[in-house]
Amino acid sequence: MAARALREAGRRRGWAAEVGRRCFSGGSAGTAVPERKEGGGGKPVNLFTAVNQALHIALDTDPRAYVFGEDVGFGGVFRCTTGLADRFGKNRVFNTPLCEQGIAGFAIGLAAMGNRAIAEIQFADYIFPAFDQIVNEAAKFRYRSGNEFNCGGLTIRTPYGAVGHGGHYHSQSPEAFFCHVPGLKVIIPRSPREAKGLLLASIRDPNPVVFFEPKWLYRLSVEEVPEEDYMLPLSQAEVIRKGSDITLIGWGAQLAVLKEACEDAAKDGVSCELIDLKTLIPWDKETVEASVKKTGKLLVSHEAPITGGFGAEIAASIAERCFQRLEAPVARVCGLDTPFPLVYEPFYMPTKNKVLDAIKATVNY
Amino acid sequence: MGTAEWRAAKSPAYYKRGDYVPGLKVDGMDVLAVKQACKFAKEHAVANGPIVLEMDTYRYHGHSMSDPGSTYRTRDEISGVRQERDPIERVRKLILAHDLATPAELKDMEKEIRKQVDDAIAKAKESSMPGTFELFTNVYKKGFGVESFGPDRKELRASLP
Repeated sequence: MAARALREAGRRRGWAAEVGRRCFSGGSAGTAVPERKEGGGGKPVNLFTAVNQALHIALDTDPRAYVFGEDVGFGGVFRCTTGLADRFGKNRVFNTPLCEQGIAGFAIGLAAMGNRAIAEIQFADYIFPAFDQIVNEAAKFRYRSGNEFNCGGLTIRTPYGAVGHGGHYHSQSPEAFFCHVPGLKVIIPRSPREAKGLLLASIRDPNPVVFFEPKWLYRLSVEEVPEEDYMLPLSQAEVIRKGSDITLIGWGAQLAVLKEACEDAAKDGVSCELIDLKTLIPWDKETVEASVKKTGKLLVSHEAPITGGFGAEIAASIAERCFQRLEAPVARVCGLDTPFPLVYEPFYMPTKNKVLDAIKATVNY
Repeated sequence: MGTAEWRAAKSPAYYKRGDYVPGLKVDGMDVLAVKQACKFAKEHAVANGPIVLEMDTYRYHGHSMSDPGSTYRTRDEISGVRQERDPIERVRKLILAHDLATPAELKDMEKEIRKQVDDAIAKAKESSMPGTFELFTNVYKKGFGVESFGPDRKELRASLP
């Protein structure tokens, strides 16, 4: 029964492909926007400024776009929303009460009425009161109504991950919870240029998106970011370093750790291929699969606890697809299965040395 | 489901619990009262701001198999409400009292409606099952979706419509 269902759905691929997996609807904005800027250009800015630029553009290009959340009216705790209220007015950029369920519920209603709702949850650690709204309402809105209604204009931005001193309420990486929900998209950028392009793509994607921002990189990560409006494709991973001995996959802030590990491994003569997954669901299996078929080895790394983390899903999928090409078990270098610690944060984290150790163990398997 | 309101809330006068938000308690079993209350509430909301409406209704049946609906109330209570507060009966009595229709006309109307419902049920039962592709439809907007996998997650793959 299920098999037949899938085959029948498979036959319908034709017209689905016509719409194009990589194209984005501008919605009411409707203008064609260049999809990709090669080689940067523009001024060097940090990640929160890149997010800020994206929000300015989103509000500027769509009069039905709104930004709201706790403290966003005066710039937000990470300064991502600086200047928005002054420029676009308090009717389009405003503070909400300290009530995440209310923020999400309001955002879903706003999006369902044909607006672009860009909601901020101040820390990803605080997203759980909104979990029911996101999982049971936002993700299923289109499906449940047979496409009569949708809240595709919804984007929830939220800072995630460690900062070195955050403790358990300001450091968590809850992305895996949302990767278990068909109907949502989950995006995590690794740098300012990526953040701007992916955020604009997320805001304009006609599906609800949870957009996690690596808060450790808000000020730390600086690169040239094109000043104009541009989008980066969702569900498309990027090989950011070519290699032949082992494939490393990560997302968000963890990419910086993996990059350093790649460089150190290179000194020992190990050639690592590094992939930024960017979109966790629906994720780009083809790029990862092609890389693992080439290298024969895979390492996945994320800050969230290892058990039930999204790394497990990647490991399982790749084991299925590349079983005969794998030369070693898939390695996972992740957070520990503990609440996020305070003084033991360095011990908890999937650090460069842990990654290096796993690279060596996997390559020498 | 079967928790009495006086056990569930310190104050079951819910319409009063909006603090500075005013509230109305409405007989939710009286269609004209509901209409008037909604009209008033809309005008109040547009002119002055939020208002709470507590609609007092009665559930004849239990919520589910695990709630027969008779452990926390008596059958007499249920039949009493049916006789005295039933919203359809109330309207029927009003129509007859004001000579807006004869009992025979109401009977015909009921017959006609019952036929409509029966026909709809028969039609639904005769219809074939929805296409299996419906399982995958509208998870995401068409063309912005994801692949789905069969039980073996390799051989069977489909782009979600």
